[in-house]
Amino acid sequence: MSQTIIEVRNLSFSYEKHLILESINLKVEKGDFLALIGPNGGGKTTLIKCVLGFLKPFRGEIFLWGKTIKSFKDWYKIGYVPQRAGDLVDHLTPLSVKDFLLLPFKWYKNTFNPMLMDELVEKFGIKNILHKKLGELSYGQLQRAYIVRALILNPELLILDEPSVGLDFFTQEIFYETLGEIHKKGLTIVLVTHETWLLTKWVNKVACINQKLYFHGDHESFCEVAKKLEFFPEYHKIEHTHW
Amino acid sequence: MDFIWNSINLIKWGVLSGIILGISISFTSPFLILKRNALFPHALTHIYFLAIILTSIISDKIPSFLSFPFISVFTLFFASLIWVLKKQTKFYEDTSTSIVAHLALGLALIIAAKTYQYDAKILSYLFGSLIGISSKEFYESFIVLILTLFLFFKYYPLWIAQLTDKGLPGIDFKFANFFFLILITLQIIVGVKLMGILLVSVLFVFSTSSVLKFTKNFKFLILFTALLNILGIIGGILISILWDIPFSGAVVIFMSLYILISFVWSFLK
Repeated sequence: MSQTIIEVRNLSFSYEKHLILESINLKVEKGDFLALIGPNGGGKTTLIKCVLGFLKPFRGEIFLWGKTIKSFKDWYKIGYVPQRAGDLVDHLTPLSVKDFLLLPFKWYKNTFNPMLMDELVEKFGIKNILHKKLGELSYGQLQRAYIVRALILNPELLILDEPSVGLDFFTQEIFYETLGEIHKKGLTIVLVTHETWLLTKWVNKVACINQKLYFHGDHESFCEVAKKLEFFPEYHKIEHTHW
Repeated sequence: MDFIWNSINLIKWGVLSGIILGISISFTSPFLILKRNALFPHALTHIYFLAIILTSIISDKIPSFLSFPFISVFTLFFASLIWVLKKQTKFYEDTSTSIVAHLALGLALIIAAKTYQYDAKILSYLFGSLIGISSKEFYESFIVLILTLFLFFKYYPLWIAQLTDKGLPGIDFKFANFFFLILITLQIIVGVKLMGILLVSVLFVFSTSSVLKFTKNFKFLILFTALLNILGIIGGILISILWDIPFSGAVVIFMSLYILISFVWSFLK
């Protein structure tokens, strides 16, 4: 029997009087690779921020591993790559890339695995910049460092908010291949993305959000539903090209 | 030489307080600079000035030992208006800081004018007074240093975290930020007596911003900021004695050398 990792029940959220999310119900099961898609401003990032406890919805509940956010304590099980991570760092920040990667171990109780770190830095091509100052990295390099930092915790759930923005095509391929590999090993992944080509290749579940949840299911079913979704014509295009 | 030693002996508590304060500030200033909040200590001094003026009005009504807590709580409370304003009006943080700081200074000047407080005491708060520092101020700065070290080792992972992340799952920055604000307030309160309201924030900015140019390591940054702060205090004292100029101004002149060196370094690099 599969275990529910994230359960969102009847969640509504608004910024002041502007309703962003309305009555969202969503479940993420263990082993899911869920793509959260939808138009800009549709509430994808807001939903992620609610799930991570950064924002408080005005209605509804969120459960992580069966526990409400208030009572949930095992946050070390979650790896998170924020949106536009590369923009967050000031060029003067006196941290080397290596120190940056090790930072989470100061606030989470995960055990550091040097072999995993070696493997990840090699895979994401940041091995030769480990000694560099964080502020000296390019946007794409920083983005990769954030991704490695999330994976280095060896999390059970990985939440990525448009992680491949700023990555070149080659690195994107490696990134998603690596994600696919670790997903096969049992990692549950929630990925906010606009890169719809991913849906057929790596992802096994799709949730489509534009204030409301328009679809949640496997990608084959989504293909059918996508025809009816008019708010994001991009999906029609992929249906013809990839599916 | 005897003249210098005699002078330093006269201001020994000021020298010791300055050194302790320089070390204390080196643990907090990097986070202010890196969060682009370098003017925050200066804004706090304006609020502190209002607290002093108000305290002097009620000084004959409250026991003297209560004036320090009153000033601290008032400064903290008034400073928290910055975040209230930022949250309610959606102003940028530096805009809110500027509004609250100028409001405090405006109120302070009006109250001072109406209550005839333009006296030497006010001037010593504005420009600092090395001779006015006694063992009491030294112990105060020592207590602030102990508190700084305690809170730094408890919260520095969360202070660093905010330089690279806006939020982390399960991590609440509220307490870390609240205690950071308390530390900055206490450092300002102790520092004002030494450097004056107008120039105390120099200790938060000059050394740290110079060292930041050279380092990619927090330990190195804090260590060298502390050393440069101490050097700045001692250098400032010597210059002020030798040239007979105000101490706080002398510290600024001395610390300007750090900025000059980092400026030259940027060219040579």
